[in-house]
Amino acid sequence: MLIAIISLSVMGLALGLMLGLSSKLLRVEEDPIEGQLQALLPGSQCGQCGYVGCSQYAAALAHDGAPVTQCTPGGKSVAEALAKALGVSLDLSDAEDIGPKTALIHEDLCIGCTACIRDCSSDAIIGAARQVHTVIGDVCHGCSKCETACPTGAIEMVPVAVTLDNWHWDKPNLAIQDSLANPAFAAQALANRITEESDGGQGKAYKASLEKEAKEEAIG
Amino acid sequence: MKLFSVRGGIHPSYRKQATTAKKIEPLPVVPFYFLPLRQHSGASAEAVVNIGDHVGKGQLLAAPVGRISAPVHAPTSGIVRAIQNMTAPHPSGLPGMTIVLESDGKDSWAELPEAYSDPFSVDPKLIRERVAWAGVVGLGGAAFPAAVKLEQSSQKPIKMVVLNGAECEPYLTGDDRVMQEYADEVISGGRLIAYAVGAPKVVIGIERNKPEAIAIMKKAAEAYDNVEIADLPAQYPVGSARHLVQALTGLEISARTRIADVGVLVQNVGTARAVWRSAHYGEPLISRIVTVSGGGMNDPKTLDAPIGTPVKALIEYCGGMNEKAEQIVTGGPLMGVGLPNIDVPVIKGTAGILALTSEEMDHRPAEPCLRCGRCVDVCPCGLSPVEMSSLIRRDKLDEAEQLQVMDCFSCGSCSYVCPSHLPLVQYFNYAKGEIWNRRDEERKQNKIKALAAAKEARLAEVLRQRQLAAERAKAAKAAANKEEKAV
Ligand code: SF4
Ligand code: SF4
Ligand code: SF4
Ligand code: SF4
Repeated sequence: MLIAIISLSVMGLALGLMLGLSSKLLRVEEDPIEGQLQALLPGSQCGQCGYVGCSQYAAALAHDGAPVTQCTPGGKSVAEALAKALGVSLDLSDAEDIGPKTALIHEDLCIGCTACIRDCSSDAIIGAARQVHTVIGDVCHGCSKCETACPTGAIEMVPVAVTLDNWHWDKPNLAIQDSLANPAFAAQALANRITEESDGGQGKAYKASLEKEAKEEAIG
Repeated sequence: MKLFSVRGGIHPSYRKQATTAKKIEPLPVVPFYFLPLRQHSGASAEAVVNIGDHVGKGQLLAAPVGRISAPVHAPTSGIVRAIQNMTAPHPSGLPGMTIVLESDGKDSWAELPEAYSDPFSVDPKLIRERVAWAGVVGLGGAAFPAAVKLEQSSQKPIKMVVLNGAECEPYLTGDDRVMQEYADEVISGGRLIAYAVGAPKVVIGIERNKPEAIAIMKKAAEAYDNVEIADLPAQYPVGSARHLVQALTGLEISARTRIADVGVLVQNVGTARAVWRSAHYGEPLISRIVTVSGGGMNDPKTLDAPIGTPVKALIEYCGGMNEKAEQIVTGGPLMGVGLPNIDVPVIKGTAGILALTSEEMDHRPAEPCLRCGRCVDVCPCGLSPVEMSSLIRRDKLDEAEQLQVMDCFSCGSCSYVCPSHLPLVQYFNYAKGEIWNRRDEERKQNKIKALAAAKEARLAEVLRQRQLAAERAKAAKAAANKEEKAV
């Protein structure tokens, strides 16, 4: 009995010591926040944030308080995710200017050298040697690496167009009082043109009659 | 029929008297028709005709693309003059691809597919295919392709087909008139839809404020034991598909559940008629019933307008607008939207064209919220407009999303009752659009992240292969040297 207790406690102590030591000695030098932030970034290492690549920007965000709105290709959604992860508030009026962009190849200038394909971080450009190249809009995230790579200046970065697919109503602006004086707000207000008050109280009268009907039914 | 109560809702004045007793009038042929390739929810159709082609009435102009889409047919005979970007009948005023058809004045039909004299003897699958060919979409306003709904429902046990004749938006009388004038076609259409998806019965819901339509439909339905007319209380928005089903079955369906999952298929009464005509006459959907009304319209009417007719032609047919008209709205006054101009065409989803005067609208400035809670009382979805709107105003979209702003279907009841005239539904329209775009953006970011990682891995692999090759070459060279030395 005694032997069992002693041997088990010795073993326990020894193992505990080993665990403690190994956790000290074999510690991986990685900051968890940094990793988390890096996972939120596009990972295309385009350098538009002003750092060498995404991991360096993540480090700067974690330790040097770099602003969350630096990642141009990431746009608003990345900026917001970063702000949330860091627990800082985000001024979206800043992010508004970074608006999403996409690459456009001017076909008359393209000589088909394939330089852009080699540099494109997300394989968004298609085309073979000595043929005109095109950008697939859906996978281009506007990192503009190709723009730098192109020897003929055939690539232009253009803002992503508003279309019937991605259009949505503006945020109502309470400061603009008269809806008709401002066309943008007039359109806004159109989603709902009548209100109970402009309805001349007819609705209320109708509702009262319904309630009366219901009451009578209940009595009868 | 036993009805169940639906929460919330409002009782606006119906303002239907201007058109409810007037017969539907067909609109005469106009010189030009404008046919947007996207008139339905889902993907745009693709033009299958070329500029200069002569087409007959009912000929296919654009074919559907992908799973959720619908074709577009010629509303009259004539020559295709252009296929180009033109202002869409959409509040944004943005352009969309449009086929321009110049009418030749003959209005002569193209060759149409076989007319099924007795559609109930044809394989249900053929009926569903016919509806897809005809380009029938939900005519209540949502314009969801009818064939897609039929196909989805045919794979599920459907207990009941519900035809929506509630028409709860003020001013609109198109469905009312269709039921009064084409009761037989509506009921046949409902029975045919039930046949196409294997459903045992049809229930047609009509708001009590349409006594003539109810009487006529009840009479027409007498001949069938599996067709029933339910007179619904006049309560906006009982014409919303989910709330209609709730009123009829007592089942509450969340915004994230498909109605077909509870065994019900809902179609508008006008859609049922179009389904019937596509099978029985082999006709594609090339015209629709449009209510032209509002205090700014000289002679309000309900019209049978060919799809593609410029809105201006409808207004002129109704005697033009008077000087009090201030705003042109497409749809009803609660869920409708403004039109960028009156040159845009009538499309498959155009249920009404209203010219509203300033007395009919509300322009009073917004005042601070009184926290009266009326918006919460009336929201038919059980949401809290007062909280959601104040979060959205402060750009806290995430929190608004947690309060389920995405379940709001923009009925406008909250804005209607708000004594402070706050633009509540307008906040929700903005927030829903912005949240959708962000979700899209996130999807795109994830795709790009995967692509970027794949590219890095590929480059690393190329590098490794090169190193390996170099090492091998070095080893080979060393071996060769050794041999040389040995020799
Ligand atoms: S196409 Fe150009 S801008 Fe777009 S992802 Fe590729 S390199 Fe970047
Ligand atoms: S780098 Fe410029 S010229 Fe070369 S293929 Fe790309 S777009 Fe064409
Ligand atoms: S109805 Fe208007 S005033 Fe009343 S709580 Fe809602 S938002 Fe506030
Ligand atoms: S617009 Fe949205 S929030 Fe307002 S009452 Fe309708 S469903 Fe509720």
